[in-house]
Amino acid sequence: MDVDMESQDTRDIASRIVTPGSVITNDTAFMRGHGTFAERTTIYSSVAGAVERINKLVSVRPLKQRYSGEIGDIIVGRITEVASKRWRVDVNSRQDGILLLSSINLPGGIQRRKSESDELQMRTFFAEGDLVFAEVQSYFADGALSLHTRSLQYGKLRNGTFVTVFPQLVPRSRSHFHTLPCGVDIVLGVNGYIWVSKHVPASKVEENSELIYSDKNEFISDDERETIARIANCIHLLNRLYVKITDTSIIFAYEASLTHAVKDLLTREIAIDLAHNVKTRLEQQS
Amino acid sequence: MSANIFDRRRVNGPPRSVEPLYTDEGDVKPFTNGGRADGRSLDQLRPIFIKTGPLAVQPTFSPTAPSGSAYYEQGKIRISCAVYGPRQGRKSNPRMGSFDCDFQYAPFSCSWKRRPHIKGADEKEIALILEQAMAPAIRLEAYPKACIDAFVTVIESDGKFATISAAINCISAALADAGIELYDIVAACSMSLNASQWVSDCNQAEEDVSQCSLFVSRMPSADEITYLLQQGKTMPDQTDRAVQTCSNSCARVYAVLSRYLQASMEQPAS
Amino acid sequence: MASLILSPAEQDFIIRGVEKGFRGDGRGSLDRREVTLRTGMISQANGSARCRIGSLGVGTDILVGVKAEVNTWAAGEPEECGTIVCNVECSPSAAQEFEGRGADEINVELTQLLDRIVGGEQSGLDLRKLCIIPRQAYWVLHIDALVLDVKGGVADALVWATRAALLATKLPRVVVESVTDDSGVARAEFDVVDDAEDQMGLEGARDLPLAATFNQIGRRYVVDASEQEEAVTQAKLTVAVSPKMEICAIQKGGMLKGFAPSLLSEITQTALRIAKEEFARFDALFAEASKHNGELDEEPSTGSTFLEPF
Repeated sequence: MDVDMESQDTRDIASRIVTPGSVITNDTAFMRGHGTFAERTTIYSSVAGAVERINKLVSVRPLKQRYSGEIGDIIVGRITEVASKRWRVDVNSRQDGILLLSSINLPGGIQRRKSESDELQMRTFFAEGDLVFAEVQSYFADGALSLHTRSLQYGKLRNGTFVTVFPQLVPRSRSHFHTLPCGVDIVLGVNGYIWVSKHVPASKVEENSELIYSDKNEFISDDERETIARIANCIHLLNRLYVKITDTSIIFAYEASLTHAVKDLLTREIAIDLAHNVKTRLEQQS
Repeated sequence: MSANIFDRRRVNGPPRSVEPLYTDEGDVKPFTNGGRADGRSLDQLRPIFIKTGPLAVQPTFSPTAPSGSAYYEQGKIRISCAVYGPRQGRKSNPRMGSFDCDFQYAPFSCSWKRRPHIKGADEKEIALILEQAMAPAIRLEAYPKACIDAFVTVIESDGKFATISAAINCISAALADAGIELYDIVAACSMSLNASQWVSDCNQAEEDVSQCSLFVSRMPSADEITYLLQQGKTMPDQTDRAVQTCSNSCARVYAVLSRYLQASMEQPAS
Repeated sequence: MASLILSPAEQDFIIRGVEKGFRGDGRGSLDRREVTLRTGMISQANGSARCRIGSLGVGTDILVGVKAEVNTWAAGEPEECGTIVCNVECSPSAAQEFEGRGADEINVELTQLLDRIVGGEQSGLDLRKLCIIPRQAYWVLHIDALVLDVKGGVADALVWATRAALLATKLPRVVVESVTDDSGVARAEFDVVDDAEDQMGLEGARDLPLAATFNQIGRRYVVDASEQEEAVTQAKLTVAVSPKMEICAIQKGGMLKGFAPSLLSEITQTALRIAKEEFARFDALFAEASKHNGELDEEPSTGSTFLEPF
């Protein structure tokens, strides 16, 4: 189906809403990116969404799409299966990610070589259901993501609670691990999996390399629990009202939420009000 | 009235047949002058008989035989249970074993009508109830990736809630016979409310005229109630009293079960 | 139920939180999430209701339709009563595991639970008023529930939606006449009046019960568990209470543990204590739903089956 093409002016192409099968451009100068397909010299859209243009690259971004990993993405995943020398990890994508035994830190020092007993005791590191903070290292031949946790900040997640959001609301940025001023750590996985936890100083993590695979939580005080619940609710409402989720927007939401009780954040009027508040502040900032 | 379901695998009767209806009610009413038709007192349970070991005696140990089995009678209720396992599980959970129950009425078992071979919704629900009542008693952490299956067949039924309680007791005996690790034996008992009085262990006729029925299954040593089901209306204090009394009855059933199991240990050949 | 797998650290966080009185979303242990109720959206049914219990407009969502049919009496059936038949089905849109036969087990469980609570005399409905002609014809109320989304606490939403649907049910009026045929034998015949204005509600519907499910987590218990809380529940108890403070049904659920007897009676007492507030809340929501019903007729462009985003 042809959408009315007024001119070849490149400024018109971007931010148009298109449906699958719409013509984006006939100009051969453009390269096609995600969300498009080409037939002869014409580039068509393959999804319903907004057209984006970066220099000569034209792509279409749909409103909702499954997360597809890129190398270097920071993600949070849940172990679904323990297989021979590897773990299968649910990363909210079209395929499970793979975490190889050779890609994790072994307790007792980063440089320790893996031994045979490690292969037999894989569950002492990660078992089914565990949450892991990892980075995408590469792809396998079939497109499955290969993950690694070869840095001390990565590894098993503890002391907190898990929140799921739309992946496209988490922009890629320099850092995905933040310590918020209210004393809570958050991990923003690009795949839409987020971890909110009690703040544990980095130095403490480095001291106890033996305990990096422990399942035991630290002691969490009542105030910390309340703050964690508050931040989790803020993230839920930002997600529901389609606001970008970054440390800044979460902090804005947190500050605006302080006048309300934690449980009220999830009710209609207050949630809409807070999201509006956050959007306004974000616009003012930029 | 049963519209017979045509089942290709079985010999089918005529397409439509009904159970006969009696034109007069019969002389025997379940409750007369505060007494029960069979002469029991209000809190008296029907006599219990248990035997572990298969219904059909097998001459030699067979690898396909159930790991444990039991036959249970309580008044006119007759139930048999076979337990298989622990064996390789289909849903393999590395932390805990799984426990599944299968429950079936024999076609001739119920007083109200012939039951078709296809499992009805109530049989499926009772299977779920049995699972939830028994699973807390089994040390499932000791059997990771394994599954334990219990198959219960009701040969004769007399009172729905009483039959469910009897099934629980039967499974307990069969699990113990199979040597499966348990926290405790689960004992169950039922009661019905009739004219503001709670009557223990009611048969079908008594349950039919009662306004509310209830059963409790319990692990006496752990003092934990593993299942509670109430059907019908009561005032809150009535439920409380019933749960109390029923728990005491469960303790009596438990005593019978334990005594039997001990006796059967002392004379394994019988 | 749709099972969520949590890591031991997450489970411990939730359990300790509940024991200290902190739930993941900041609710108190007896607080129910937001409830949205709508009635009358299915014009083909005699009564319908949709109930959603959750937060931010996402939650356990149940659609109940009540259809009344006339049945011919057959020997052996009660002579002067109608009957109620319940059926619950979980739609695959609620969870992936409900596709194909995956939902069989949970359908049976929920159907039996609903039947236990509203399927007979104990529901409070006057079944004798459902009889049209004794020993000849009676109304059968088919209650069909469709579970559209599962986010914890299905049993409660199911009973709330069913109560609303039955309260909103209107039966056509029936005219019974005595007809004498040629051989002089008098017979009763009935006619169903086909007039949308001339309909009656169900007798005794105000006595229908509401249910609350109590999940034991650690050493404490909570009402209206979220999905994550259900994943760490050891045992749960569903208690149905009528407006007259009678207990209509009690059913335990959960495979991991049993209840200490003292906890059982504490939960039953709590169920009675919160029943007043639950009924008050229900009544307010139902009244608003009925009002909303009238307004929707003027806006055919709005899909009335759909709830607002929130």
